[in-house]
Amino acid sequence: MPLIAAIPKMVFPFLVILPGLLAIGLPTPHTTTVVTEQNGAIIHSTNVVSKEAEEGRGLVPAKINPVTGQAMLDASGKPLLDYDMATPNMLLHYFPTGILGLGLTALLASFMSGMAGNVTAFNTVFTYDLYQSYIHKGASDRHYLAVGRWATVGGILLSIGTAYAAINFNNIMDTLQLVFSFVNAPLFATFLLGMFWKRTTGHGAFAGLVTGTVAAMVHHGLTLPIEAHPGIHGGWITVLHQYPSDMAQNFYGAIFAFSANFVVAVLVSLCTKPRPESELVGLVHSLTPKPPKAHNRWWKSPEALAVAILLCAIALNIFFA
Amino acid sequence: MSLDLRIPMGLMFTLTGLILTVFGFVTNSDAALYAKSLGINANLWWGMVLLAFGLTMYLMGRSSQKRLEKEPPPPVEEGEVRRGH
Repeated sequence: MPLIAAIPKMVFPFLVILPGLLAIGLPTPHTTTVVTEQNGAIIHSTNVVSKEAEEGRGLVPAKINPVTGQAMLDASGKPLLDYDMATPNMLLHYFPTGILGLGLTALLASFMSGMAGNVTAFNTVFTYDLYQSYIHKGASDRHYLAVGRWATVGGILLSIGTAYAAINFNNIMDTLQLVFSFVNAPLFATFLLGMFWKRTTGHGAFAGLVTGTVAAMVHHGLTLPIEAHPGIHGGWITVLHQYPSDMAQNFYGAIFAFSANFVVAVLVSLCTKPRPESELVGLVHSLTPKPPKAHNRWWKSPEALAVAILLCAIALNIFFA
Repeated sequence: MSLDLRIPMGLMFTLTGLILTVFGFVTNSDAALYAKSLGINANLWWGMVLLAFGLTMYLMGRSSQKRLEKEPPPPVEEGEVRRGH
């Protein structure tokens, strides 16, 4: 199933990058006054454009500081663009009444389903894996249910706080990938080792995870994307290196985090006592009994599908490179 | 009871497509409304796309539901370990 879901993921750039390119390529709206004369009366019709639209590029508006009402500037004095507004502005610009409602409904539906999924995951993981396992064991179901509900409230408050931090980024993708380089990249190394190397120990995995996250933080503190102010974009220790964009910084951060986690997890695992193999059956790939070969045809097997998707992804990357 | 997901999903797309198609058909002569979308009747076209997609999903779902109801359920072997989700 995840393999089938990977197929629409390949056309994702057409959905997110193409509208953005179109939006930035369109003419920027300006305040214009057209003077016409009708029956001897001179009529000035002024088409007023808001400040954020005027200082933006194409249909992508500039980011306005909500406190001062002025456009936010980068380190070289150019206005920051609010790329998150590219798709909504394209909808408003091109959709007639009717399909415009459907477009806005689809946008809202995707926001809500993403939010709902993450909130549900947050309160479950907090209550089940943290609270029940480490903080308060053996309480009644009613107690855990109440904790889960309060975790939902806490999670929403936390996400509102995160939204204020995300205002400083000019698109949500940069924010997301920054968080992923802190959290997901080290976790990926831990999962890989845990699943495919039976010598991995709990201490090794934990030490690796902590080192990986700290490595991502240190990398973020030492580097800065070009034309960004030190602070939430990085460089809060000192600026050793400048990347051409936020995304380059995020990807290198993820590489550093993954490598640090991998090396430390392997080293610590080799120094600590391994778990007996009998306890690892079903957890590590080499010790898990293989499910019987499915009687499907070869083109229905997961391996064939995986290779086909990989080849398609490589072909698309070469074609659009 | 196992409901094929394509039936409710197909019905929802069909209903949305129907609304858009009818609205697009009625407002087809309204040039001012479609000046925004460069003269293309986006409501009519996208409504028809949704209608076709919804009906295909609904019909596929209904035929597989009928086929499954005719077949007896596959026997579950005793003592077999269930894997995956």
